[in-house]
Amino acid sequence: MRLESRGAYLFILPAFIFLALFFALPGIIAFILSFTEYNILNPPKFIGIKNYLTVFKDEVFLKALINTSYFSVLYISGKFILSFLIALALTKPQIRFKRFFLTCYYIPVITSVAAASMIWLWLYEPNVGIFNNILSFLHLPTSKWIYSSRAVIPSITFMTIWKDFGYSVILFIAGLSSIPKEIFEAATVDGAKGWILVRKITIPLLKPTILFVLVTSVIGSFQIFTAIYIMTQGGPANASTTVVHQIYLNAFAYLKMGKACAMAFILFIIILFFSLVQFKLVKESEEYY
Amino acid sequence: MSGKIVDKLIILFLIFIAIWSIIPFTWSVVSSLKTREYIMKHPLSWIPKPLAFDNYVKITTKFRIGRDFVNSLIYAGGTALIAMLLCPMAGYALAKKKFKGRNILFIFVLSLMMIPHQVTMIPNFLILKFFPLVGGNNILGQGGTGLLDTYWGLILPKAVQPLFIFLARQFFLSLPTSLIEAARIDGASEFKIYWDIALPLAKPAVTAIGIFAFQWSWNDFIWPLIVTRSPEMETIQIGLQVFNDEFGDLWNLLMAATNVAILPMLIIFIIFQKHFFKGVSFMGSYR
Amino acid sequence: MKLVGKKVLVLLVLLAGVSFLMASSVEMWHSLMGSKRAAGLWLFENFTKQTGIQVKEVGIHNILEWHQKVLSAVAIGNPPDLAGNHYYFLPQYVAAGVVEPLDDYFKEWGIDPEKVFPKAVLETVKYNGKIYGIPLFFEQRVILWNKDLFREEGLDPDNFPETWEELIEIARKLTKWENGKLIRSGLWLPKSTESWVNVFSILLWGYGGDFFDENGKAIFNSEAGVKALTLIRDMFNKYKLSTPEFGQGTKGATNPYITRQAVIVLGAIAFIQFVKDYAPDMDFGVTFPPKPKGGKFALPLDPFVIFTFKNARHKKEALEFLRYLCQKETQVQFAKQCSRLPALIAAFNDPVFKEDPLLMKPVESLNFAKPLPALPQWPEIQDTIFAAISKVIHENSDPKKALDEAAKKVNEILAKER
Repeated sequence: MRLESRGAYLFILPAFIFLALFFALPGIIAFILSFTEYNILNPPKFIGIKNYLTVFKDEVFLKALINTSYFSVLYISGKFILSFLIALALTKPQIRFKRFFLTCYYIPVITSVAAASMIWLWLYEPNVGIFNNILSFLHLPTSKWIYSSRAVIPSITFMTIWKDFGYSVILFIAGLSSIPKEIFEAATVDGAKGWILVRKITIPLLKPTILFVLVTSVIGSFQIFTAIYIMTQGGPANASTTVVHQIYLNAFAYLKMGKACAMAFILFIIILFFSLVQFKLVKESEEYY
Repeated sequence: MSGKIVDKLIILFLIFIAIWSIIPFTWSVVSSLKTREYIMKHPLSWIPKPLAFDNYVKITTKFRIGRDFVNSLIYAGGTALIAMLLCPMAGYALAKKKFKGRNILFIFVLSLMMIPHQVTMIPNFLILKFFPLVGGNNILGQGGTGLLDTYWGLILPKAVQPLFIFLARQFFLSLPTSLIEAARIDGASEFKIYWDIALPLAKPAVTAIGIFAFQWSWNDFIWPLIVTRSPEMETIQIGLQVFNDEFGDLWNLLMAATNVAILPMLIIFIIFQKHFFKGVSFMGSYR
Repeated sequence: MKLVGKKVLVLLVLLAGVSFLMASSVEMWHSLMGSKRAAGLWLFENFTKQTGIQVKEVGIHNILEWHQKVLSAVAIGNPPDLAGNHYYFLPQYVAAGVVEPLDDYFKEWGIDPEKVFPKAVLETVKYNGKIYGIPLFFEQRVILWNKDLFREEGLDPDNFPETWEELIEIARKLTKWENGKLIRSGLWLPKSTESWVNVFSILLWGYGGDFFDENGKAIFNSEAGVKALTLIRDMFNKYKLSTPEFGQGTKGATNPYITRQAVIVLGAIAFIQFVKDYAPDMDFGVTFPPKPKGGKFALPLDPFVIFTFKNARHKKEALEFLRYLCQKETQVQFAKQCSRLPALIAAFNDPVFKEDPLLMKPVESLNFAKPLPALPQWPEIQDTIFAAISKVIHENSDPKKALDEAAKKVNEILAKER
């Protein structure tokens, strides 16, 4: 046992120094700043928990929380289903051109969010944008997309899933391809087919992958910012503002860095809570297999 | 439904998604080949006449794109190299070595991912400025500009990411411990075990980390914006926004520059596809 | 021979290096991008020609990102020598006490700012009686109308209505809806935070109201404010002259005004050059927004200002640049090149602007234009007011309620700072 742990700290030390200096230390500073009034230009002034009280009473922040949660639920479920189905399809031996498809699906991932947003703004343009043109060509009702209070979050979700799903596809494919074929063969002999196979065999065996994707998706989706910033600026009428968007505005437009840090800490607690819940679930399932 | 029909439907589905994936990118390529007159007259057409390949020349000669490109390469390459060196080591220790506080350390690493960078940006900026014994600073970090406006200032805060350590840890978790134990019985040092046995098996994960690190740094805008000062240190994402304007006059040049900016990522992905897929395959290696 | 050649080369390099070090320079961070970039580059080159001082310029198109960069630099005590952007960022920096006041320098240069800049413009750079920045040009709101389409509909193309009521009547005639889709907008009000708050202020002031009273309390929810917001809401929802998403996301040749899908539009001055470029054969007119019946003409002023910091590294050179900006020729040439209006009285009265049929009305509007409140908290206040306007239009809700809520919130924002 002790042989194993030899030098463990040394292995971790270099990375840990970086993390401590550039993540933990700034995080602690930000936490301390949440108890101050700080406009970046002048030294911070201690004001106790006033920021937290203000934040809890701020309807725009509460709206942002609701929007962020709505987005997260749509995003995580949409992306999960889409990438899982595609991964299932791509691991069928009968399907060809897998590498080509995968490259296509990965292209949105490597495009910068700024460039993608500019292109999608054009796609979503209600009058001359391609999406509405296609819809009216098919005699379907058009949408106001990001200019409608009701459709804005689904529209942003749609675009963000487009941007990110390729990465999840790759993760799922990797997971699926390493399940030993024997397990599938044994199950088929026992009479399991099609969706039953997926439900009873594939998904349980894939739990670690699924949970990894879920954890990183939760952490990522709760911090959605750039698409909102570029495409909707939180509108229409705060229908699409998110927590990080509010953090950004408070920090750099209103020069209320202290309040922004309080919001960040509240967000941190929420994300931590959901992540720990998911890890509890992992621990449990690991025991069965 | 017969298997054949299902397969055909599946292929259709895959093609549909593939088209959906590349349309925006295709549009940006088409737009980048339009002349200004053509964009003014036919902004929505998909077939530019004439094909303005010289747009790609224009952006390098008229603007600082060349130098920006190099700066981005250094920033992205630097973060990738350091990430590939340090993150697997930490992941290995968290996965393969039992030591006190291992789980707490892991949760600590994970929790660092949950702090939005908007609030850590300025503290990081201050840490760079007051970094002792560099950039004209004395031992207390006073007097100069520290690591600001330097490549190291760009790279160091972004090189080691909690996510990479998380990835590495999951990968090493799925490696069989038997090889490692055998080497230990043979009396090899811990580092030799890591370097000669574990790390080669981890090549795919290391490659994956390198690709992700490169990609994030390459697409990063706000950090280089704040850390760099002199125009010579500008990265490509900063340089790109010179084509931003209110009325879309420079839309074709903007798309051309954007495509140039995407190109290295695409090339790297295609070259390392093999390694990349293997790199994340650990997720399914479930014992 | 070779050795001598080498020595000469080294000497030349040394000389070049030394002279480079000796050549003074000044660092400016600005947002003169897009349609203003060419003029901006000229501005710096011309300055170097006149004074020999090099300008290291960093241009950021996105205003908030510019703000982030400057904030970070000031936070560590290493600001750029010069900063240039819309005036509404200046109050935050002045309030923090980091901007260099210019009154003493005006005396040194022999310039009386009260005489060379319009009073309303000075209000945007004056705090507690001191002047902190030099205005360079305006991004004024103007109304453009398509004279060809006026003629088509049998309207007098040269007689633009002076009141909002008349304008709405005409716009209704010009608006076309088909199958529930807006085919042509009679009056297009492009949506953005600044743009809609500007429209609101035009009407608020037009009806005789204001944003704050002498004690700094919010009064935009007064009767004037309610009338203003009701009119805006009716323009969208009752008279259906346009929709909030109309034209959003379009660029260049797909802009509805260019495609003749909008007959009258409220835009910034930059829009004039844009129309000239993209629709050279369009016969159009330019004027300032109308007044409400029984009310007065009003228009918010949006000057671009340049300022320097107390601890700028090259303050001497920075002040040189600020002085250079006060020259009439500088401002005239700059504004000409980017089709804006200069800020100096002598400059915008130059025939180039005053006698240009497209610019004469905007020049005239400088007589009654005044700035929106120049407060450090304005960004947050503006967002609050915009959210209220947005809400009323999108949900067709009660303007009085929305404005009362907004006023309450704004008072809270201001109260905290005391």
